[in-house]
Amino acid sequence: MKILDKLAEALGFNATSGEFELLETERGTPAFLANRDETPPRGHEDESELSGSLEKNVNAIRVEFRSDINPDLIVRRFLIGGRLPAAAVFMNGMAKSDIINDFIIRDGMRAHIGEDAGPPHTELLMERVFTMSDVESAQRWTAVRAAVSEGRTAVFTEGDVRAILMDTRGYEHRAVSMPENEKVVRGPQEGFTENLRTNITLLRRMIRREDLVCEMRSSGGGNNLKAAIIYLEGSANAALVEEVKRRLARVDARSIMSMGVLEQLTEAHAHSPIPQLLSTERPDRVASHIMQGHVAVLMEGSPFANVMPATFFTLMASPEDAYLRCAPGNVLRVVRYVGAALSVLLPAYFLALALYHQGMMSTEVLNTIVVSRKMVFAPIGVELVFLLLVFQLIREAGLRVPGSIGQAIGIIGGLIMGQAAVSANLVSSVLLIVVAMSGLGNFCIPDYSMQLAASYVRLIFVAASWLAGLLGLACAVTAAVGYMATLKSYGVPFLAPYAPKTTAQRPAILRGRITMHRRASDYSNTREES
Amino acid sequence: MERSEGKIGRQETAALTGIAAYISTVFTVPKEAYVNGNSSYIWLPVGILAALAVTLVAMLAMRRRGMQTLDGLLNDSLGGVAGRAVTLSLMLLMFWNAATIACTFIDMTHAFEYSTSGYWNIAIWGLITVLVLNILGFEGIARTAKCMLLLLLLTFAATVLLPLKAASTARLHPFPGNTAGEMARFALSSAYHAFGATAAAAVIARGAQGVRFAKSSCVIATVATAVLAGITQLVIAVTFQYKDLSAIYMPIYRLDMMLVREGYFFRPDTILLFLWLIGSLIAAAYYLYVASLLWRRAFPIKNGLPVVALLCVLTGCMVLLKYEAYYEECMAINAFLESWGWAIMLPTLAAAAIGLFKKPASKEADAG
Repeated sequence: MKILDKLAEALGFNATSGEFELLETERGTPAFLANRDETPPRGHEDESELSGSLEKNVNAIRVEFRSDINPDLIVRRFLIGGRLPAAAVFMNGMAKSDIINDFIIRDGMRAHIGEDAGPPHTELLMERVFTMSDVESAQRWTAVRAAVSEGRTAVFTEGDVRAILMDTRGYEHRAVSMPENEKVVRGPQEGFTENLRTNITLLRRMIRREDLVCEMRSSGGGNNLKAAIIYLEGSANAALVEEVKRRLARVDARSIMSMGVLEQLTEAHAHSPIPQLLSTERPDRVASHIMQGHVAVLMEGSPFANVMPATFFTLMASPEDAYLRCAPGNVLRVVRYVGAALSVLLPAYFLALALYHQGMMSTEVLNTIVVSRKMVFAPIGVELVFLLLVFQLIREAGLRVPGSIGQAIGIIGGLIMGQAAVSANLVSSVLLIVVAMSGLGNFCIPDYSMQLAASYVRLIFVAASWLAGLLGLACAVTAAVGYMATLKSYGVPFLAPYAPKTTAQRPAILRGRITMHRRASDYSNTREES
Repeated sequence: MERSEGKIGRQETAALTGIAAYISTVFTVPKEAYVNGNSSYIWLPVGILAALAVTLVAMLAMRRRGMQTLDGLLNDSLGGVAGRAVTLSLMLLMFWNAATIACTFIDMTHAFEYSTSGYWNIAIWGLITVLVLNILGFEGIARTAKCMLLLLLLTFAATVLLPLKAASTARLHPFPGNTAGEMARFALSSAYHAFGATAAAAVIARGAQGVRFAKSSCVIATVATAVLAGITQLVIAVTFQYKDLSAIYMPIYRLDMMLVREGYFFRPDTILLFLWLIGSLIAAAYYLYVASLLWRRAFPIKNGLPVVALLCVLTGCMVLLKYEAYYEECMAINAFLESWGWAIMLPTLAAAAIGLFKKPASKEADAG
């Protein structure tokens, strides 16, 4: 081992990377960093408790929140009942000042406290003075800091070693609006917002059951956003719930700003292009999965919910399917699967035919292809990859710019540029149609992450076809199916309930009658099953 | 990276066994079988059912002795040394089956679609895919088989339905075409080919949730394979005269060329060839997995990945040996195995018989 260690050291394997090189130079740490108080590292639980002195507590929280340079922290001193010194501490903008004025300061000042009422006053104030619905007391600084950070108001009183925490959250947020990316014709038109409480309410409105549990957790990021684990206590598999909690508890990131980041941090195969959980902005879809025994995770600041486990068939299903009658719902599903198959297979199949298996095409088709490619200078493989790239460019540009301009980009890119490219002999019209059909098929896939995954898989198939024709395509398809068959989403095989088969009636390619869907999805071994 | 054995369901086991048995038998019927007449639609199913019968006896003995795997029964009945020797012979059978499938499909692909490419250029694609499937593990192979089963059944339906217009029952003359002795010989030959698939089900019984489940899956799959193989051979028999068949290379492919029409974007014969190729990749991966499993059990090795990688490379070497250097010798070995390969079933049968005569294991031990 020593020799190996020495070798590793000689090769520089054990060298520590120089983080913050821009700040820490050879001359040492910059002065403003050196003078700054070090905050406890993340993961270190602050066990310190409040003091009985109001002055000490106020000073401590001022230091904690850097109030000398941070004007957001408001410390409002007042006398409760005209004699007990107190201070209300809250974050400007996060807490609603009307509530603080009316139910904390005004009630506090008007209160009558007897001369003989000595400390502790906490219980007395909570029960008789502050007319707030959500009130609790805390003894540790960790709880006080977290509460103030999220918009609650902490009230410290002289002689008390506990602070009173009251829910005064009232920051600005977007109102409930239509889902942007998962539109349906028939069905609820509400989407999640960035407000966690609103999102939980949307779910509770749809699942009015006493066993709907909503456990609050830290999302694991340094920015201390909260996450909610939501499930039906009487239905969801306890092991699945524990696994979700375990993975969330394991997260330790610098910052988590959105559900997408949390998704990557909690997935077992983060490098896989294929998503292993369902990310949706529709409360009805989440509610439906929760009723099936799945677990959902919501996060503050993210209008998406992650639902786990998710299988291939879950990701290929649209909420619209359930809202339509059986026959049209099934037709839509079949069209969607055909579209997905066209999306991943058509360009590769066409390339294989054009390069290796010309005999498979009729004379008319072959003539059309030859004529359309007569003046195109690039090889057909390069042409195809170029067109796929252009398609991705148009799609990306359309997504990133504001709505109406995005549509214009689609028209300019798709029609005008396509026509111009054909006229300029940059691409052939037949190949343009093949790529356009493939692109349309890609949009049939309801899940955005699956759309992207299909794009990657399509490129791999094109490469295999380019190298070896249908032989390469057959091998690549087999390997791709094998890969999907091996993937698992929170312990559930990705191709369940088909491979392995379970008795679940949904989700599968064709859905049965609604009356067949009384049982929960058994591939997650819900408590109803056992 | 270590591959765990994993657990698969009854449908996956049946899909694996069925695909492996069909590919191993229908695509390996020798031309010599058609020289004096064509009764393959009789002896091929009989041979497949014979292999099933041997495996069922072995599974019966496994249940009686409380053994979860076939190699466990061999060791239990024949003793350590002899049991291990028979286990290794089974391993070689699995490996040879995989190599035969690889050679057959490489040959077909080369002959019909890639005649200007070298054999190795074709082989490398298949071998890499087989290796990838094995790296993905047993569950991956089994679930891929299940996913592809419907596609392969549709391929089968297209294969037998497309040429029906050209069928004529008059081509069955002379009926049955071969003497009883010839039919028995060919049946034994097909039993040798099918035994790999049925024995594999007994080898993976622990991963297939026990001997009872493995047995039921094996029975369903093998009987279905016997029926489908019989139908395939019957369609071949009513489409081609036996005298023509002895000169036709791979008549199952020629079947679909009987009614070749100019399609816009596909020709059924070529498409079906590549769909069967997918089946052959799954079957070869399965055989190599079982071979590596037997190897690991004979010489306790924890990590199976090097073993299966080695077997994949050896399969590639077999292809190279056959097509680049020792074609005649390989064909001679093949001919020998066609005649005497069935003998490999005898030690298993003997071990099963010994197991059946031995004292039964306690009920607790018989988890299957």
